[in-house]
Formats: sequence, C-alpha cells, structure tokens
Amino acid sequence: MVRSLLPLLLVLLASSVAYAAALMAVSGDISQLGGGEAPVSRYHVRVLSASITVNNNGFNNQITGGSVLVASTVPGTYVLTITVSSGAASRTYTTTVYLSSTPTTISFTVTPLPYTAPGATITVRAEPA
Amino acid sequence: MRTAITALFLFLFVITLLMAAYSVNIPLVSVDPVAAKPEMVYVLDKNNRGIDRNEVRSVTLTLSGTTVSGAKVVFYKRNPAIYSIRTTVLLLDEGGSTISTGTVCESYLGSGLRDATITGFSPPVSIDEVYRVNVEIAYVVDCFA
Repeated sequence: MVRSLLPLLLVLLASSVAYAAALMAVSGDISQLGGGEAPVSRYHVRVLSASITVNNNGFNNQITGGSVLVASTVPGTYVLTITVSSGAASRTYTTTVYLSSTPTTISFTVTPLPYTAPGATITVRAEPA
Repeated sequence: MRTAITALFLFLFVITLLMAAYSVNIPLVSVDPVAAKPEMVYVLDKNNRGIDRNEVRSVTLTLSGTTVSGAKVVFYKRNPAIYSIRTTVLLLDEGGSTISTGTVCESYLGSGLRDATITGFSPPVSIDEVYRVNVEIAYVVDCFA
C-alpha cells in the first residue's frame, strides 16, 4: 500500500516545491506590495503660462476665459481643474487631458466674472484620471 | 489505476504552475502616480491707484532645463501718458515664501497691450520648487530711484 502511494507522494512534494519556486519567482516583481520599496512615480505639475481673456478693455471688464500651458513630469491622463477667481467670484473649468513633459496648451472659457483689483488668481490642479 | 492517478497529479501540477505564473501577475503600470506637486497658482495683478490702473493679462515662464530663466508678462496699460512701470515676478514655494525674484522696469507710452520681458531670476530655482507665481506691475516715478 505504502509502496503504491510513494510515487504520488513524490509528485505532491515536487508540486509543492515547484509551486513555491514559481511564487517566489513571480513575487520578485511585486515588491511594491506592502514593502513600499518599489519606485512609485511622483509627478510634478508644471504650469509654464497662464493667461486670461477679457470681454473689453474697460476698467470694469470681465474675465471670459483664458489658457494655460501645462506639463507633467509623469506622462499620463489627468483631470485638470482650472479655477479662476477675482474678488469674491470664482469659476471652475474641468477637463481630462493627456499630459507629458512636453507642455500642452489648454484653452478654457468660463461664465464671465468681474476682473477686479487687486487682481485675479488662476489655480491649475491635475489629478490622475 | 496508479498510472491514471499519476497522470491526474501531473495534470494538476501543470495547472498549478500555470496559475502561479498568471494569477499573481499584477499590472504595476496601472498604479496611479503619487502627487508631489499637483497644482500651481498664478496671481495676476490689477491696480486701482491714481493713474495706475493697469492689469496683467498673461505671464509665461521660460525654462533652461528645469530652471526658471525668464518670464514674459503681458499687461494692459490704460493711461496713455508716458511713464515707467516696474514688473516683478515672484516665485513662491509650498509654504508661501518667496524663493526667487525677477524684475524689469521700463517706460511705456500710450495705452493698450504692452509686454515686459524678465531675463533672469535670482536665485535660480527649479520649476518643480515653484508652487505659486505672483505677477506685480506698478507705476514708478523713476526706474532708477
């Protein structure tokens, strides 16, 4: 009886060893899990230019849109949120765009908001899509 | 009988290897990058002091590698008289401290869109250290005063 089961036990043992070896070989590629030692990409958003367009050249004019020149150190698709504020008013424009180290021009339009002293603030934020 | 059982275990052995090879294949490329600097802020100046009622329309930074090496500011000059305007671009870090400054002062005549070109920042900083860009334009009596 034991002699007849010996080959099966050997196969089971070999299977276990092979399975463990396979797991070790594959898990070598996933050291990011738990260990936190694998290099995770850290992106910097680079906004190289910001401009606004206005409805006229009068002092009490309004901002109607603009454009930004944006790049990211880590290529990928990002949700880009552009917030324009002046005085107490603010407007937000959101788009999804592919960013890389080569700057991309993003034009936007907003519901007109007064361009008041002391100025306007343009915030450009990118989050992975 | 024994041959059949051995064949069954060999079959299971192969299946086990295949599962080990493919079931742990986690696509690391799908891991989202972590934000080191997810946003930048630009502040464009608009004045309302006496004859100084100018407003900034755009600013463009120029890079030398990753170092900010210059800037071009476009502003709208309302008062047609000739006078001097000092344009200053401040580069701020994450905490809101100024880490670099570039400035230029020129005389301008007439009204309309005008531009100011800053050819250097001191000290040199990387664009990746810059979280906020403040653009200031101001009427000055004398650029050299």
